[in-house]
Amino acid sequence: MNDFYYVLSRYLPMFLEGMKTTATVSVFGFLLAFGIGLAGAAARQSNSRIAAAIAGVYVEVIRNTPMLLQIFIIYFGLPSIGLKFSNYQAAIIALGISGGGYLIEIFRSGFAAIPRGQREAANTLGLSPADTYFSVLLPQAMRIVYPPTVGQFLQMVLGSSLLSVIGLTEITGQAQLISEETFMSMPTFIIALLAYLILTNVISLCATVAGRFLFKPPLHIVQGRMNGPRIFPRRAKG
Amino acid sequence: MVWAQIWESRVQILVGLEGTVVISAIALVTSTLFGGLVGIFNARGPRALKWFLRIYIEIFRGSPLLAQLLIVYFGSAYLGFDGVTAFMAVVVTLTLYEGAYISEIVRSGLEAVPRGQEEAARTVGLGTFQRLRYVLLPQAIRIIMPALVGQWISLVKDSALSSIVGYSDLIQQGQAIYARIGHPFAVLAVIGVAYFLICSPLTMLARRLDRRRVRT
Repeated sequence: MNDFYYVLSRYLPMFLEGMKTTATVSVFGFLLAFGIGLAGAAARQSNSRIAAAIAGVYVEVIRNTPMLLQIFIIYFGLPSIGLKFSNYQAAIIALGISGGGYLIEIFRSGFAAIPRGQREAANTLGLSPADTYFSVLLPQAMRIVYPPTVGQFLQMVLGSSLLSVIGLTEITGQAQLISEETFMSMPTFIIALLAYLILTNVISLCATVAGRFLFKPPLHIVQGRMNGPRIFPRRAKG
Repeated sequence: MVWAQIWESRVQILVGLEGTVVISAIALVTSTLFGGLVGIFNARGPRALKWFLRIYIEIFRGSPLLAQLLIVYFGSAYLGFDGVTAFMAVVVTLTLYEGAYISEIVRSGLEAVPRGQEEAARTVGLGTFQRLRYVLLPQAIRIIMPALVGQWISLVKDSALSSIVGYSDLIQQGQAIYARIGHPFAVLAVIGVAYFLICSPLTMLARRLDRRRVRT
């Protein structure tokens, strides 16, 4: 217990620094992944066979290889064919590319869950394809994909721990530095683990609350279920 | 030229493949058994136990596998347990981590079996164990199979972290190869193909199971 106190009191700033890096990298990585996800889901449904095939292969490759390998390829592999990134850039790109592969599937199934009649009705009303997409399909799909997307964001926060292997000093990276300095490996890594638990719980709490305000009618999410949060549609009583 | 050099290193890749397959297979069995037990107790156990299991699941699902692995691997030395190899640390960590996810899959599968099934089984006089063994589990397994296979795919991919603590898996061997011959991109691409060959049959299996479930 003394060791815990020692590590925490002397190295708290380093842990906080690590949490900041984890949060920043995860958010930027998520934004990239979100863009890839929307574009990829659109490509998979598009009439262009080539676009659909490219998006399909992308999803398969990302989902069937470990993220650690993807990080190594981006940071150590790409320089050998002339693309060099700093570890910060590589971290965001790796998170974005890997998260994007999962978000494409989430978004695709979200769009697929919208009843066919919605699209037909939009056609009948004479809405342009852009209006159909942005005013009819996207708002409905967002509601469906919100819980699994939050789940994916949490997975990306946890996955960002792997970025310590390319020397990024996020939570796990800082913990490794501290543990090398103090030889108090176990207390250090347990504090790191607690830092992640704090981050993930704060994020999912915020997401639950945000879900009530972002959507109409409010989205009620029950936490701690399989595959992330699950939706319970609100039912009228009686 | 590059490919010829990689071809000459094929033995190393095969050694790595063996490492990945062995550790994944062992962890797959242990984590499924462990997760299954936890899931059953979490669905049907005494309340105090459920509370305890809930905490275990929240901790292991809310923190990264790498942090857990480092705690087990370095923590065992810190606590004075000598002779904990990288292999043991990885198997233990994967069991606990994937077990937490699998237990949630099993629990939700058990809860998805219609309530009348259990009531009927109770009415015909089956005990708790018999209800589980002959009525609930056979139905739950059909429900959870796609999600379970999906978790196994994650397990194979997560086993890549074993290279960080020095276990000789595909990634570790890949790094050794490009440290010697260079061309990291080509070497890592080959390693990626190896992972793809292990995982994509499982993905196809999961997809087929999912489709079958929708049909019935």
